[in-house]
Amino acid sequence: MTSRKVFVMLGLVFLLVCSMASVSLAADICIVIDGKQVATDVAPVLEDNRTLVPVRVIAEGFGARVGWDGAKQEVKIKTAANDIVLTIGSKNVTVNGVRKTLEVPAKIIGGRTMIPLRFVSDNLGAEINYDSSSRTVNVKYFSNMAGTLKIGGSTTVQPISEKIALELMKMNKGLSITTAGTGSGDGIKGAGEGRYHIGNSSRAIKEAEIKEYGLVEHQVGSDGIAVIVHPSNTVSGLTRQQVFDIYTGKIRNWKEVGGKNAPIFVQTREEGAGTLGAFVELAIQAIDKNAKITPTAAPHGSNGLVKQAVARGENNIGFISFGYIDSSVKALKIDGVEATAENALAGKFAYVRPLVVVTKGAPTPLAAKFIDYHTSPQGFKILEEENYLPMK
Amino acid sequence: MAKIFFEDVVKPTVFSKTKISFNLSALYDKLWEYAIFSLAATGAIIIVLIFVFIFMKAWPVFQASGLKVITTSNFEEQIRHAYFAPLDEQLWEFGLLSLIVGSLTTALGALFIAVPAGVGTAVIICEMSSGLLKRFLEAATRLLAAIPSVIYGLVGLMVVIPLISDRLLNVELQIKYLEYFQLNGYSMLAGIIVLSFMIVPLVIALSVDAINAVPRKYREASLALGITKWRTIIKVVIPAAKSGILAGVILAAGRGIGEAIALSMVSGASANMPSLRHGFVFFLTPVLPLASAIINKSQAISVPSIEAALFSCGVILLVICAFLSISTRIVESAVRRRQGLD
Repeated sequence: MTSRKVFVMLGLVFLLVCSMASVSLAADICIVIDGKQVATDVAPVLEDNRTLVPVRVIAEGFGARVGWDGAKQEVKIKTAANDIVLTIGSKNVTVNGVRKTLEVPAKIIGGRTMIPLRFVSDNLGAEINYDSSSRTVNVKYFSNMAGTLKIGGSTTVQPISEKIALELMKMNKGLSITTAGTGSGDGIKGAGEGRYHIGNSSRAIKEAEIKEYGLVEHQVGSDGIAVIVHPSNTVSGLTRQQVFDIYTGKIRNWKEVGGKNAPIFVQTREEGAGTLGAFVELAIQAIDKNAKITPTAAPHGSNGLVKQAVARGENNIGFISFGYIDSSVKALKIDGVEATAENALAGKFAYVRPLVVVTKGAPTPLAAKFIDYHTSPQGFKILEEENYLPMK
Repeated sequence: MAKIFFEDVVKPTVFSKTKISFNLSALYDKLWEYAIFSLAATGAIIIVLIFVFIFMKAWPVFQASGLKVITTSNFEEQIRHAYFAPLDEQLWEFGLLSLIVGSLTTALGALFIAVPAGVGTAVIICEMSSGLLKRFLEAATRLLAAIPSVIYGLVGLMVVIPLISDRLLNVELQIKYLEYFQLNGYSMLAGIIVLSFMIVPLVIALSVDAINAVPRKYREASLALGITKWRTIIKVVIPAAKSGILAGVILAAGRGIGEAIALSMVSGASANMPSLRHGFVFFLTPVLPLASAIINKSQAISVPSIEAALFSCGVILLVICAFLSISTRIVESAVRRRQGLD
């Protein structure tokens, strides 16, 4: 008797497990963007024979910024090329100011906005396949690119561009991207003259430049500028005013800022460097519009050379991009705030500048995707690896 | 002798028997002649075009600044202003005097060290050494000549600069002069030392050639008169080799003026005007020679006026080097005439 009961019980348990397995299988439609499975808390659903997908996770995978306006019940999606506004419960949607209609209204499931998959493919330039046998939504955004892109400009942004170009070219056979580190000035000018599809700049673009060339700027990240000294220097922090006074030549001795009696040798960058432009704007002109760096400052050709000069000269002071800080130099606290990425992201550190790319007019679809990559999860990883601050 | 002579006479008559082959060979000769001539002409035209190109690029600066290009010096400031000038109101005025002075002082200073050292070494090699020592000196000279200038720059950075700042500088001096420029070893003196090492092989090589070319009979005559070896060298050999040595010196000067990388690494890279009022600190002034300026300021070359300014540095370099090259000829012929060789 007991053995029979056990068998029946076992059989029932088995059935239960099976049904549970099949139920969970039925619920799991997974999303794969550019070959990588994306984790979603709300899975895509089928409704009226249409697949509804959570818009945020997909859009963010494309590097879009997604905003939510609770009062208007609006979802805003912004990529380099597209500006989309969805309204919950409505079929109406605006794409770059043009009104369009969804097949089914956007709706909220489990706190997530769901929209028809077709809309994503039709309006964001993604290629979408639904494989019903494996219940997978295959989204290609960065892996359906083809053509040529020329990119040039800031040496600060150059390493990021180069890594992104490599990643994209690995994913796309028909894509060729060239990148050049020629300085922010040239990046802006080159984009305006049509020499580059995308110009890189590590300083904000001047109003005059935007007007002159009809440029559109896209911020792709930020970067902090650290003030560095020799590791043996006893000074560990300066105020913004002290940095200003040192760089404009008012303070010339380390003892005036709490160090030993020794001259302060100011190291700077050659004219045209984005880091110099940003530093002058943030550290000098923010305090006095007409002030300029002391003429005795020794100019250097790159971030690396400034670091080397400071590492070798115990009385030197210089400024470099966060990406270049290492143990050979000491980064000073500014107004008591440590020069770290966290402080820069939190807005506490004084010298943070935008990393900007520019295009002449609206970017081409290909250029737009390249720009979007900077703000995609993979792009964040690249920026973090290179010690820049992603746009999270 | 006679046999060769005989063949030379016979050969043309043999060819002239078959008329076609003679014409063919004449045609070949002509063809080769034209081919080589056209290659030579292309080379010459390219050189002329390079000159024209550089002058054209630099012209707006010369037009706007006139003689001020070589009589005023405010280069760093001008570059900064030119960089921030709006595109349609470019600033074309530049004064390169401090750069020219930087180039000339480093080159002359280097000659001051390299000429005695080079000529002395040449004398040792030619007159006073033999066997292993001679071969070693010659090999060392050749090696020194083959080292790329960036290596000299690195050595300067690692050895010369610390040496200068340890031995010649102190905190009081640095503080005193910070008002004018940074005294931290990167200086004209560092440039002079590095440059002298670079040009010494040139001076040696050309002096060795010149001394070797002095006829043996001069020395023998002098020694036969009972003059010591040392006086023979000073009074007979070197004066006789003077034109060759001078040619070497001028060539070395050209090399020194044109050197960019090594100098931009050690000379301070900031366009100060060295002033004799500062005493020996004159030599410790950071300077920016013309050729280094072209490298260092090229970051801002996207601005048209800065591009023109850098090309005008190029023009001045060209003019100085052309002047040096012409003066080699003049000096050579003058010396030869005085010696009665022409």
